[in-house]
Amino acid sequence: MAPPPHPGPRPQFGPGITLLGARQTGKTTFLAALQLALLRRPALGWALRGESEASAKALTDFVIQMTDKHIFPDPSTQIEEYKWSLEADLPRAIKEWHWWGFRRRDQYIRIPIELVDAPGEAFDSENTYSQESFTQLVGNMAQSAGIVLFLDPIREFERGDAFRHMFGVLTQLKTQLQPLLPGHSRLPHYVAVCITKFDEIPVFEAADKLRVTEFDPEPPELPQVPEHLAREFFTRLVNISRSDTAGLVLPMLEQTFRKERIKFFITSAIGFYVAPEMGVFDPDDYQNHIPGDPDHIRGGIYPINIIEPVVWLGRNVARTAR
Amino acid sequence: MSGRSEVPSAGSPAGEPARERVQDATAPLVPGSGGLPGRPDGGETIKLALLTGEAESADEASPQKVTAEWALWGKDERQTGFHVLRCSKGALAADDFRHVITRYAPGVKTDLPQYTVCWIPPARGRPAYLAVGIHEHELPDADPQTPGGRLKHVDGRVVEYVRLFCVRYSDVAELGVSYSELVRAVERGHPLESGDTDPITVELPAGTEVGAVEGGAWYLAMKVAALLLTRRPVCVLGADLVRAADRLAFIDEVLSLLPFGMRATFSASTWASSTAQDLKLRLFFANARRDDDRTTYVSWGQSAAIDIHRERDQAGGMYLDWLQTAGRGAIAGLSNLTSPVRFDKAEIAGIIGGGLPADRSVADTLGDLARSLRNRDQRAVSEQTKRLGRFLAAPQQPGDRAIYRSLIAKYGLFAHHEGIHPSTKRSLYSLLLKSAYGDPLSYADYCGIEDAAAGQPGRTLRHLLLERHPAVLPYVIAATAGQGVDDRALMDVLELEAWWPQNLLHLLDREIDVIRPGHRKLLFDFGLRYLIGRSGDPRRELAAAGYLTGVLARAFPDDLREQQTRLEAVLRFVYGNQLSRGQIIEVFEQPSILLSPVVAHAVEKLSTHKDRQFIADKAVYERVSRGQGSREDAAMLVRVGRRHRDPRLSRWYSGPLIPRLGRILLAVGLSVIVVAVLVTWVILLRR
Repeated sequence: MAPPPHPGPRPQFGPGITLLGARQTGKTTFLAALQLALLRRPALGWALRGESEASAKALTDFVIQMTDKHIFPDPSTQIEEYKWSLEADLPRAIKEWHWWGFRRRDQYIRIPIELVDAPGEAFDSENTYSQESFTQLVGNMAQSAGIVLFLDPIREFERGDAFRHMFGVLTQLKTQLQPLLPGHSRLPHYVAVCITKFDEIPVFEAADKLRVTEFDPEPPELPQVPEHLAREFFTRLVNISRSDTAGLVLPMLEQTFRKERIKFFITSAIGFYVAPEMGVFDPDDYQNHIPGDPDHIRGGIYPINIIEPVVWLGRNVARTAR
Repeated sequence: MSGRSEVPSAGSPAGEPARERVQDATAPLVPGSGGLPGRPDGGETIKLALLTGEAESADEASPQKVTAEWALWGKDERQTGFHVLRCSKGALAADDFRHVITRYAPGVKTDLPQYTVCWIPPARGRPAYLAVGIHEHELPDADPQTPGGRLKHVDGRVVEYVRLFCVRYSDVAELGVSYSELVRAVERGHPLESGDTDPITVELPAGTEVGAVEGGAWYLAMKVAALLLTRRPVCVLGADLVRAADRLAFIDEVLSLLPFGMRATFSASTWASSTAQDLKLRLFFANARRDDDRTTYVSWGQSAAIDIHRERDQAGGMYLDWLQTAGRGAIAGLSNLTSPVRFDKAEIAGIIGGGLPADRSVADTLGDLARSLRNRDQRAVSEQTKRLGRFLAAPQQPGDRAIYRSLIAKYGLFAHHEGIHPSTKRSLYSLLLKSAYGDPLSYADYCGIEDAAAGQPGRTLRHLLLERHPAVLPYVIAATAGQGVDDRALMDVLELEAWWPQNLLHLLDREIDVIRPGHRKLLFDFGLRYLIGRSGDPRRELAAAGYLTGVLARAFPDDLREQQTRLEAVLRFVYGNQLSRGQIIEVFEQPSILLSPVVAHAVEKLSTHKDRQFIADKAVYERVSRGQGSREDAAMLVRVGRRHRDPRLSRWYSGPLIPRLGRILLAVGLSVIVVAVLVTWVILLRR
């Protein structure tokens, strides 16, 4: 009997999370909104912290840009890496047994996340921005345990280039990692697929027509697509896309990664406009993104589903990296 | 040709050109504002820049030139991702430019413009290049909507463009060009419009001062240079408020402290993102520490806190020791080491182990310069000029200046040197002036410079002298000694500095005896033109000043012809081409006039033939009556008195019209009475 093939070195996954998406899909804005999302929902108990001087400075700059200047953060021109961590004191999370019984104790949780944000051009396998950036990016993904995949439905309607942007990167990633994962046809990464720009009128209208929206009972009563309906919404969106290749995105994802490790989120980094005098979502006046030269943010920022993918990835990535 | 107006000359209508100038004057002199109080001497300096005219020769006008291949990086509506929008067609292709721009991308910047410098290795028969990238939003002074044919916004975001200019390393090494010079040369005037595909010719700015950074930054630069030899990237923190151009000057300063050849493999940026994952920069500025262990950090303005000897790599410490003890001459010699050097342990060790230049003092350098100038060795002159600049970055002692002055005079370093590039010459003159003369430049200094130039300073030197804001006398001499400076511009500057015409003439009157004869003519002629052109009532001023006869007599004591020509011009301006009897008398009776034979000759030349004798007599009379007459004058006066019985009778026909008429009427009346009496007597006799 032939000896089993040598398994080779197992891939080392760090706590890194790589952001993957075409340009203008909102990767950097997503990062910028993360801190604001946590501040808007203190009840969750999570806080974001910069793990280094540079990362903490970036966090501050992002928040100031979006809240004070009401502008979107500058798009990345280099591969940027942010070392942040999510931390929380979860009340009564640990059960301690004593001779008289048990008592609950608060638990401090810290999830380190290393987010890698690359210029969208770096993902484009057709118009090679920079071979070095591309290689570096694939290397980053190979070492990350989590990927946030950004899909901009508006862009997909107009240009339909999501597949082109993903295909080259994922093919390279698979080629690089497959020899290290014998016996597995799919990569072990956790993938949070973020369908961005939910606040844009066509996206929200589509969700509304498909009856996948729910309204938060708490003010400002913002609509959102719950996680269990997100994949369905994505599939429907793909079906109505003008792009011939949009329908290939989901199969490609599921052929590359384990299906159970892919999760969909319908997100908005800036959220809907909420008139200060009303304080609640107005279905007749909700556009927060004002196109112009340059684009700007109309009012307050109420991120939708921004924390969820990061917490989900963070928890899983931390467990994998342990 | 300069726009200088000549002193009114013989044959021209009396004072007409001057009258035109007076009318052209933009700001008439405020009466009474031209007084001298508060401006007692010529030590006041001219602080305003004087506009200069065209070049003296084509050679002097031509700056140093290099050819640059270029690319514009950005976005457009056709392709909204960053890409090479357009580029030159030369040895470098679009792919090369793209590779360079993305490889050395410094990440997100807090503000623009910023500058990145990098290198392109030789490949496939292509030479090595140095590149400078200007990161900017839009072109200065361009249409805000489509600056230089570029879109300001694409997809709702402001576009960051990169203009990349690549120059052959060999050209840069030969000319010793700094990155700041290169940026200044290309930043304006090369927008890289669509349709252009030819490499551009870059005219480098002339006369750049060496060692522009302040003393504190120089010590920091020295430590940074040594740190770079540890082969770890160096990040400068805390310079957020320093202008990008000044940060680039600091990068240049650091490079000037390393062998020139290290530029061939050096990259730096005036700003880099601290979160950028893989910076390919050896030196950069940032606002926070990066998340890596490779980078060494220094803080702007805190050179003392850096202990380079702690570094494990010994090269940096050894190099810093050398920098601190080698002397400025040796450091300046680094610019001669132009063979490309990699930031490689073995190559660095090779340099430190024996490849560093020996020291040369300022005196040695001046001697070297004299030899190189004689041999017309452009490259050596350029290197030695930079070496001199390195020396002069430190403050000079007054004693040193005297030594340098004598050496400069001995070697004739201010002379017009043939075969040396004008910009190098300009840098050299500038440094020589800085080394040997303090501020402000006095008249005596100017004379010393003239001696060292063995004649009238050339145009370049004169312009440098003007830029140094010297005292007013050397300023006017430098401006008027040759072509290139317009009279009107000079007058404007003097007026703005409140140096009124009267002030200048008073100063001239006071200092004329110590002014060199060659300068007197320039100063007097300009002073007269200035008074005529810009004074409120020049005729009254000239008459009150005795038609400048006193200054003229002292300015040209042995040259009556020079005096007479100028006095004639003055009189012609005041009275016209021909003097009447009354005007002749007015001239002679001016209280402040210095009566000399020149005056009589000048007046005579402007009078009719019949007044000649009167003028001669009047001159003698005035001299004698003022106690200025000689024995001959007295003798002549006796002869004149005999002719007119009484010298006082000369007033008879030169007096006012009405008394003279009275006398005539009286004589006529008496004659009529006499005739009447005679007629009456004859009639009575016949009866």
